[in-house]
Amino acid sequence: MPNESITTWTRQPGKSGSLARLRGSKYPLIDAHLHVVNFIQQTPGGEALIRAMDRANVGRAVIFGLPVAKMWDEHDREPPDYYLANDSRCYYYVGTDVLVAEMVRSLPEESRARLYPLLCGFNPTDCFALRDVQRAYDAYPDVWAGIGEILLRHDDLTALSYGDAPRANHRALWPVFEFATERDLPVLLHQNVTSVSKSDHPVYLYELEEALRDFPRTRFILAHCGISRRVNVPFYHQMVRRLLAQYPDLVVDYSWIIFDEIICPGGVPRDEWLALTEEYSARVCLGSDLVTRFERLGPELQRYDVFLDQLSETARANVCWKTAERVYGKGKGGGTMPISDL
Amino acid sequence: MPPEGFPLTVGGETALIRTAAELVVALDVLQGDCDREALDQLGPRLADILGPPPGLHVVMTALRPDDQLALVEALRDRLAEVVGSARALRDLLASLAEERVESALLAALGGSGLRELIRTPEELAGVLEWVYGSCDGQALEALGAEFLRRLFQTGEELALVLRAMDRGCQAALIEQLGWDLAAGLVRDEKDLGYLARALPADLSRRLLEHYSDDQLAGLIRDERAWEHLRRYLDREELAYLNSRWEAATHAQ
Repeated sequence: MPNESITTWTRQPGKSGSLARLRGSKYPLIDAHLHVVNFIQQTPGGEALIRAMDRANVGRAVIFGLPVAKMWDEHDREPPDYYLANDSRCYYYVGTDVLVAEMVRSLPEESRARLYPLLCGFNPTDCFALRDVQRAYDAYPDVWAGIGEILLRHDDLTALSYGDAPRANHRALWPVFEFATERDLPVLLHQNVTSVSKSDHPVYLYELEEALRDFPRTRFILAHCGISRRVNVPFYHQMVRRLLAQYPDLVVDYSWIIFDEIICPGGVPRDEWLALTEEYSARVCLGSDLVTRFERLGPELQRYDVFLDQLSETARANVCWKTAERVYGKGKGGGTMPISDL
Repeated sequence: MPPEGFPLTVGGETALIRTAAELVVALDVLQGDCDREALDQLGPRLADILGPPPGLHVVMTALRPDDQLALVEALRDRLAEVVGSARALRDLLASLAEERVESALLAALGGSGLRELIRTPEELAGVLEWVYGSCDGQALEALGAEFLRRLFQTGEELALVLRAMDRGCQAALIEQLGWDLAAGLVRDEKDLGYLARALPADLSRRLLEHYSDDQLAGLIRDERAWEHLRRYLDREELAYLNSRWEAATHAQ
């Protein structure tokens, strides 16, 4: 998501630049976290996506829409283009899955095989949530590879969204998690580990752990390791390490500001994160977390090279594509392209 | 445009640029050191790359003022087409922070470009709201008196535009229209109230003085009209208007 903390979104005068960054990472990879629909439910379309992936050395991508739509309030003169563009609220938008599914179906088979689409268009605080999941799943059975990104604790977005605060242990999600488990579908969760003003301990972590505890066979992926804007806690890598040790099916993705603020601050990879990644590389994947804006894929993913350079070959292969392929490739929308073709 | 875009080569690396967003990312990864070089290279292709709104806005936002001036100049012949609409021009002006860039943009659009974009008083007000200093006058001068005289149908519309202007330029607009025409736009007490309050006291008084007693009696028909005007006019204006109105009604 657009963020002032991401180095690729701000120029750094004095640092030398190069158009080579548009070609993306030097390592072929799967972008494991990419929104192909924005907060006003628009998409540049499948052709633009594939073209950008080709340019940015992205072999495959885990794609999804956005489960919330930003309102254009009657009193706002300008339409919003992002959920933080103004004070208007967001509401749950089932149609986002239709946009994604139709976009995928419009592509030729070889392009579709490069995408792992997830469905996310339901209200995670509504006990009817499963109804909408089931309908989207049944309407496009050839498309979906999993469920997500379910937006749960999300600081400002939670505050701006109508309804209850969504959280990982909300009982409305229990049937959805059961549905995913029965079909062996991965579930990508955005759950902040804490609130904006509680930076001394992770006040929302227990909510996540309750879901992990009660659904030990569900394949959860914790988006950007539970971080968000202005969200941070001490002992972050120890916390992630404990989660990975405690919950053997849990996977995390490195995307968005977890990389710039925690893993590789100032462009220097932290030793403890390199060690953690080496140890758990089979449960770590990489993503851009772009919200459309596909033209930014190259620099967004190239910025990971400084970290990837320092991993062993095995760990790098896991992080770059093997983990994502294993996690998302089992679903119905999974591709068939051999890894060697990436 | 070639399907993959126009080539941009810097430091031995080439990127294909097809959209405004792609151009901005290319400028970003070059850390802002090569903005002018890129603009010069893409030169005549920039209008095709920027395309419809908000392409120009997106790129202008990424540039320093000197490079913004260079982009405006490079687009000069197709600037109105690239700006696209009065709404887009308003948004663009709102995002510009330097008067010299705003002035250059208006100059490059010229009278024909501005007239192509601006069709209604609301659109003119939107544009003038975001220009400051001499740019108000520059825009009105470029639009021309003939266009402005045709633009307004009511006092409310004229008031809308006047409120968006620097006070120092308001008299110039009314001079361009002519005081007779400006006064003639007032249809009733609502128009009169809006217009009087959009103007400073000296111009408001001058407007009121422009009406004959009979005209005033026609505009202010009853006590309800007076009630409305009391919300808008200050004490001196009301006293003046009242004396004129009484003179007119006694004569009848």
